[in-house]
Amino acid sequence: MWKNDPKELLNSTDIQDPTDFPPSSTTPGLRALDNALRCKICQELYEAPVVLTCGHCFCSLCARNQLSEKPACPTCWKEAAISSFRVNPAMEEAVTAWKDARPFVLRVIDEAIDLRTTASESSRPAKRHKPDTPVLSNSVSPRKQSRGHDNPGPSRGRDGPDGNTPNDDVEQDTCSNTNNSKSSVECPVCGKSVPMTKINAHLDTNCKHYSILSGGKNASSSKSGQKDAWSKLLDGKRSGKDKERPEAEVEAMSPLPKASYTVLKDKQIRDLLAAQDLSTAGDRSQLISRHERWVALYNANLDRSPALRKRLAELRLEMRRWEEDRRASRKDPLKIDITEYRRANKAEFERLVQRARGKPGQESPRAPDSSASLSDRAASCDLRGPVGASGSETDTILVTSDVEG
Amino acid sequence: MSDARLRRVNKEIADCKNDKSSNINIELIDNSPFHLLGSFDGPQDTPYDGGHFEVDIVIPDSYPFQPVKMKFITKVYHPNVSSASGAICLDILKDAWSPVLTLKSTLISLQSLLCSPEPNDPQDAEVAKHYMTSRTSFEDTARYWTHVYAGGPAPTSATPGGAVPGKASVAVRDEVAIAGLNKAHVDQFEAIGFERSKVIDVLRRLNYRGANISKIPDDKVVEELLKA
Repeated sequence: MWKNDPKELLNSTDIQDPTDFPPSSTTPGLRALDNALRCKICQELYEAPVVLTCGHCFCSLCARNQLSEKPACPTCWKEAAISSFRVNPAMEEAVTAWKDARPFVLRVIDEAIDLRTTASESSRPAKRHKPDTPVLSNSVSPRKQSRGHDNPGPSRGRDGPDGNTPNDDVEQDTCSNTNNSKSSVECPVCGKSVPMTKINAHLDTNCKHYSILSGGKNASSSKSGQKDAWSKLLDGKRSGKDKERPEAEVEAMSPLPKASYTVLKDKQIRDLLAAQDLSTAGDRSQLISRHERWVALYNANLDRSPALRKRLAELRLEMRRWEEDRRASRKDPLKIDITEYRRANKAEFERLVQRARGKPGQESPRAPDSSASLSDRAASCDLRGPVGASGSETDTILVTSDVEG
Repeated sequence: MSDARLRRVNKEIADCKNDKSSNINIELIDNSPFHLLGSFDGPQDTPYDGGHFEVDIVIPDSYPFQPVKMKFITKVYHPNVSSASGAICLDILKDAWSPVLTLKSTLISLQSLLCSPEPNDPQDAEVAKHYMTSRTSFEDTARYWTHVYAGGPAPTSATPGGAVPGKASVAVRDEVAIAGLNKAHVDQFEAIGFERSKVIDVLRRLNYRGANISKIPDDKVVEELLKA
């Protein structure tokens, strides 16, 4: 996202860094842990981490960008090559877990600090418990959900309709909910699972009481329950397919080869881009950098574990954003240079013009900045240049105006 | 890319703000997050002690894969810093740059560059020559510049840190040398009839030294002297 107001941007909270955590005196190790899970190049949590031959770890895309500048590890300067990257699934797993845990840990820290401050003011034990419980339940539930995603959901539903009667299936379904709370047992007589608290009553009524109760409740909804079970099954299958399809697509992808652009003609580069469904507009250097970027993005994506890989559409979106950024940054300096700069320095320019008019043939208002630094190295102190050489004139103006202003 | 750059710069600024112990500051200069003002204190036990040095920071498009551009805004008398433009000669700002370096670590490197000049790889040949030929005189000048430009303590030129004890006879010459000027040049303009202190002041302002001299016509100096 490109935000124009830097102050707003500095205060924005979506950018996280290790200093979100209190220093190690308050929470030992957390800041260091957050730092350890971050790429030293982009300072974000690792995305598709890869290990170089020296053992240092970076995001795949960061490492690719760096090695195209200089084929060495940016930390220790040992030689490195893209071909010798090794993916680091262990780090990726740690980062994935930390991404889940991070907001929770931060919230717990905040509350602990709040508690400490309120406790020091006045001890209120009743309040101490209340904020804790919602936090725990809030944070645990998403994790449970994600675990549910990992295990294919429909398996339970698949067992039901296979051999059992619809009634049984429904009953099992309702009971399985209580099963989770560890309070149901299997009736030794009829084999159905019954809530622990009702098992005696169930046996006393010759295995009727409970089944009558639950049957009565479920009889009306058994049909719809059956439908639910089936639709759940079908939904599960469908969503499973939805997820599997891109994965298969991604898995089938193999890394794109690097092109040696120097031996390729413009048209061949355009063909390469067209083969990837990319834009073929722009001059040669634009074409090359676009293709390079795409190859890096594409191959870096393959360094993720298959479950975390992005889809091609997402990569294309990233690619488009990158191009927009480039275009914006290329336009920016021009805008600033000509209109803004001229307006901001109008008074100064007029003063200089005025001075130049006053002494004709002496001064010109434009001042190249670099000439001063260049001349430093040339140490020729005894030669005096001819009076009125334009470069030297402007230099002195620069110096004086700096001092006066 | 640009987005990643913005995010990284943001973190670096936040990092500096949160770290009070390093005494390194980074602020915005204008509305762009890629044009910054870094500042730090002169290192202790050097001629730069007590001064506050400001550095202009420009973050290039391909940061962090290309080095940041830094130059001193505060004038510094140092072999590896241009006395005219503030350009800095430091390997990590050129080919030894690495993307794992940060704005903070680079500014700390600048601070340590002030501690340990590298006269064999100079940015300002004149200053480097001064450094090689006479360390004490160089340090006097550096201290004087720190006082004049970086708000450092006034140099006690009569007893400059005990380095040159009991040499009151050279106090007059020192005034010229401390300003980093050549005595012959000062004498030349003094002979025209200007006050010595004025001449020193103007020549110092014009940076009338080394290669720069060839670019400053005498008329210009006289004109400035008349204005002063």
